Amino acid sequence: MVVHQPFELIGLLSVTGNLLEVNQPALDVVGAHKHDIVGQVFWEAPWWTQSPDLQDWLQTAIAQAALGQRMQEKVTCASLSGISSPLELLIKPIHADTGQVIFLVVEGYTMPERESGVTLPNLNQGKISEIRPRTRQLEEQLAREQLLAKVTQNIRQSLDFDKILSTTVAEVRQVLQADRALIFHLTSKGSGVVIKESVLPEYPVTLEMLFLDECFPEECYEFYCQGNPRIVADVFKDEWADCLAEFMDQVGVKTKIVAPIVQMDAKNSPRVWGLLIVHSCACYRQWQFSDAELLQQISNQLAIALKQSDLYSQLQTSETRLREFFENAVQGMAMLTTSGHFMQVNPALCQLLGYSRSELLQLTIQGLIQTHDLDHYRDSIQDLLCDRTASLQIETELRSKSGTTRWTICSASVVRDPEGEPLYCVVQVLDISERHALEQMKSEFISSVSHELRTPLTSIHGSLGLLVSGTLDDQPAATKQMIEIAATESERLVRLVSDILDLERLESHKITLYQQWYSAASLMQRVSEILRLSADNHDIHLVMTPTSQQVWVDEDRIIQVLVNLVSNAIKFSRPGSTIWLSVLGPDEQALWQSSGQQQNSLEPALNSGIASASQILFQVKDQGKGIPADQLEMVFNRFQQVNGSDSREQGGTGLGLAICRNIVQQHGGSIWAESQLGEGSTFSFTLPLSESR
Amino acid sequence: MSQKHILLIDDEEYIRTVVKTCLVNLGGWAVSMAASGPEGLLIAQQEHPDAILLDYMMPGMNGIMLLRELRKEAITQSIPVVMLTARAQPTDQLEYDELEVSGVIGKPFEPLMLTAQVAEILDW
Repeated sequence: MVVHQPFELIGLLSVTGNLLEVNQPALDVVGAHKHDIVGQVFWEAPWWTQSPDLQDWLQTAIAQAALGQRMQEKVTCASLSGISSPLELLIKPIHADTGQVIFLVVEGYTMPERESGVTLPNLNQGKISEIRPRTRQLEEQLAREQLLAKVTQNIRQSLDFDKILSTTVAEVRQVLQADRALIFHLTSKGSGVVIKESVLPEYPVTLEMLFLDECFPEECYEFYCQGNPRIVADVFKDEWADCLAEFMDQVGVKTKIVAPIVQMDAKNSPRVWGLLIVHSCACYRQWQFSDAELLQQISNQLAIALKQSDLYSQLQTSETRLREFFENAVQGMAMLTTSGHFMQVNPALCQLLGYSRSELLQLTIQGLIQTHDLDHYRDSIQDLLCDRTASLQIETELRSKSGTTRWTICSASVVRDPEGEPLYCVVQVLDISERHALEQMKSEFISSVSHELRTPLTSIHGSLGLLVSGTLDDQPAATKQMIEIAATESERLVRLVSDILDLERLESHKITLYQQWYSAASLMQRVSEILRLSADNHDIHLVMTPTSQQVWVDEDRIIQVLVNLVSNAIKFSRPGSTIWLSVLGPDEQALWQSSGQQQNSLEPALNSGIASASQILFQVKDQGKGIPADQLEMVFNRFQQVNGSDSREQGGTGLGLAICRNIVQQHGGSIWAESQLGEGSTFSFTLPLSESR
Repeated sequence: MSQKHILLIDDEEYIRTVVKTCLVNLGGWAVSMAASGPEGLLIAQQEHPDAILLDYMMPGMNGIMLLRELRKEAITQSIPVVMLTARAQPTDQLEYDELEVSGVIGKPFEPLMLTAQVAEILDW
């Protein structure tokens, strides 16, 4: 007669049904070895192999248990003897604090067969006493697995290393039911400080205690470097006394486990960062190997967390640096998707285009390119994306938010994934608006200058061509006329070229002013000498009102200005009229102001906020044709001709007043004109009296 | 064949003198002169020249502005106009076409060829 040997099956499964732990009796029933079975899914284990239906049910039941449902079923179980035993099977889900199912416990109890009629001894009773401790054992083990899982999870989810350490010591102490758990951070071999602690209230606090001595021997350190934990069964009889015995007494330690937290340094050799320690103070608790093993596993997880934390802060620093570089760059920069959408933009670019960051991130770059440049842009981008070029650089007009055009040079390159597919583009935008404006001004200048030069050349070329051909050989009067024209216009050309160069040099500040104190009277005397002949020839009466006022000027340049203004006045005046050249120092200006005279002349100076106390005022007044009001400012521009004037016929270059303005402004003064049509004009300029500007 | 009469309009006195000398001596044409747009308009209306030789860049009323005025008046509408100018902007030709300018000669011009060029443009 076959007698069933009753047995129970107790096992621990993962939520996916993998067998983590099982009791020996259950293994014996099917003659299996634990290491063969652990890891397998439960339904493929040897107990169920004779029944595929049962296997299916088990798989489903486990899945349901994983969702939190307690499953119970009567099943049959195979055995070595070939006889199947009925089994009452329970599958119980075990929850974490979060409510999530983290393990499944399987319990299977044999039921005696009633049919056989044999009453078997109720062996179950006897087994209960065996079962309980085993269950407790498994529950403890479960608690530890849970602790390890929780620590691992914390580490994976949090980069707050400090927080991880805090929660770890608290939980370790609790699960291992120790009196104290602490983390000791080594600052050098053997010296360190307690950085974290969880301790029962009745025992002393060791937190932040410093240990400056060489606390443990070289061999001990080496031992720890291997990642091995150490159970100290009696701290007062410790071979490797890694802490002074008296100290141990002070804090009430009797036995302890030390689990090193090991890191790899730059040369890839291990060093001990710190120690995770649990203390038993109440009694000489006998720590188990499994306790030490658990503690070490946790230490290892902490080492991982430490490394993560390091990497993270390195990454942060690197990221911060890159970000600062991007944000503070002077040039506009952006990251674009392959379809041209702005992914990231820096403040320089926002400023250039006049958009806020959030506005710009909604736009595409092609939306900002002026229509006539779009085709070129599209072709270039295609070349870039298809890898026909490594980078592109195009000059393109971008439309700012206000609608104005910004001339830019856009340089772009593509960032690709490991397979070579374009991920995004990096673009730098250089603002060349200023450069462009300058280039435009230059080309305008060149075209206006070349036009001006062509005019005298036309006369010279025409007149000499006629002479050389002999056409006028029998016309002495005409011949003489042509020669005179050629001569006069050549002179004009000479003056023109000279003025063009002079103005160019003044404007690009290649001219240094050599300023000294001169008496205004002496300057005016020089002007008078230079222009006396011309004035006489034109029958103009030149009146000067000198002053002994001293002025701080570049003599040649100021004389150039005065000669220019006076000779203009001569050109514009009718024969027999008068020209006044006057200088007013601060006193005279005040005098005029208070007397109400000459108010018109002074008002612009006073209105434009120039303090008369520190200025000297020069004026050239004529009785000529006058200048229309709308041209009073324009006359100081290059090549400006006043309507119907014959200044050009008198050999003017059109640059005289522009040169005057430049010189006056470089002296720190201002120049302006007033006029009454038909009555005359007054050209005035101020110069500062002080040496500094 | 009656003598051709050209009206020359340019603000530069010396250029006027040189051009006139060319046209008279090498073309045998009669030449009237004007120093400005308004003066040119007046003379064109009074004298009905066979053609006008016109400068572009003049202060106040420039060549183009004068041309518009000429094209408005019945008397002066059909007088052929040849531009004689130092100006060479690419967009100028549009204006010339619009105002039916017969041709353009650039400054500086070749004094010995000027007459032939003008004659060719005007089909004389």
